[in-house]
Amino acid sequence: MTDNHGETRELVAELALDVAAGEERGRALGHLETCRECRALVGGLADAKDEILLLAPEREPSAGFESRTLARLARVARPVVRAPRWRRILSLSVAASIAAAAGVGTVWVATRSDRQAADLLTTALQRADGKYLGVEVLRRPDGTRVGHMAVYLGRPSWIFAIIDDETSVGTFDVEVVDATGARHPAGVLTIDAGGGGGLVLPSGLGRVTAIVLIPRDGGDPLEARLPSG
Amino acid sequence: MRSLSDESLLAGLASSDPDSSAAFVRRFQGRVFGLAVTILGDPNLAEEVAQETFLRAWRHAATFDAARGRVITWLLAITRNVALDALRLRRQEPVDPSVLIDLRADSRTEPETQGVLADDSERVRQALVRLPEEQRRAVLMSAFFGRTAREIGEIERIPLGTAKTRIRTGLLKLREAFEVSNDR
Repeated sequence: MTDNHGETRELVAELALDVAAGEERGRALGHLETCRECRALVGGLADAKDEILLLAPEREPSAGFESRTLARLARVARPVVRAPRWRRILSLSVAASIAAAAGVGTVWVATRSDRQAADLLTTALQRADGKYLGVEVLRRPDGTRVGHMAVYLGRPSWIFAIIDDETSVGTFDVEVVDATGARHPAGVLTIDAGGGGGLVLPSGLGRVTAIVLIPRDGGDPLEARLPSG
Repeated sequence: MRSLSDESLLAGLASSDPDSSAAFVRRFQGRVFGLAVTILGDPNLAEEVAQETFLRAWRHAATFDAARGRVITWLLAITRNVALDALRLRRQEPVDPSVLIDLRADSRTEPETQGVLADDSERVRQALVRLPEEQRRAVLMSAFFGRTAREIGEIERIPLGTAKTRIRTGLLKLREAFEVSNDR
């Protein structure tokens, strides 16, 4: 148990309501990783928060809502066309290269064989005790592809965004989405004129399902979704 | 389909079964849309949020754990998250939390609010009514509108520490009240 037990007890309700912010949230999440008692308390209070939402009155949406929703689901649920093999290998190489270069802040794309890339990936994960390493497509809300994001989940977790479209260069507030869809502020990322930028994520993020970049200039958010499962 | 459990319909939705998906949306659309409107106050935006909620439910159905809670509370938690994102991105002004108790009191006599869900809402309302007014407001502002302690302090013109205490004490009391009513 860390020294943050008392501070975390003060913050349990705000953590459960997902309204805690800043450094105190980061410290409390770090404490939760090691304190079963606090974790259970936050879990119980989060359940209470979920119950409160039942208070909202039921209300029917406009006619046709059901069919519009099902049509949208059907569109999204269509099988995804896989990228050409060379591209997948290249993506894997990028991810592995980033892992190897972590801490240096440099991205290099190497032409490696499948096996070499896989070895690099495995070594990188083992060396750093990582849980996940991959490269995901970065998209606007309308599905337009704007680049890639390398994501590493470990100690520490980090991301590196690579933008194809120079109009997306700028400063972004980064949010991490967990399995319930809750968003957690994770810091600020700057993508420079070179088209890339990285950020070390806070600890205690739980199961990450997506990373969202919200432009500070008010443009469309960019999202990279991680594979489920 | 009417007789299938919520969990079965969710499993059907996850596997993209058309009948289960339709039944799932039909069963929960009133609840999901109702919460989205409550948070956003804008029916058009609330419909977008409700659609996105069902999309996320489909995408993350595998993460639902029946041992940890019910489908409805899981789905409403997703609705809240999506609505709060929309609230922040569109800089929409949230509804005054004090109307929530009154809203519930009005709607509980509506014919479409039936059975288990109506019981749930009434149970929550009863627990909230027993809280001191200032704690109730603080908890509702956080639970429905994602207000932080700092924001609540500014709105209520109270010190940050007092806002934090109101949120914490109120939510702890509610948890206790819900546990007691679940044991009955």
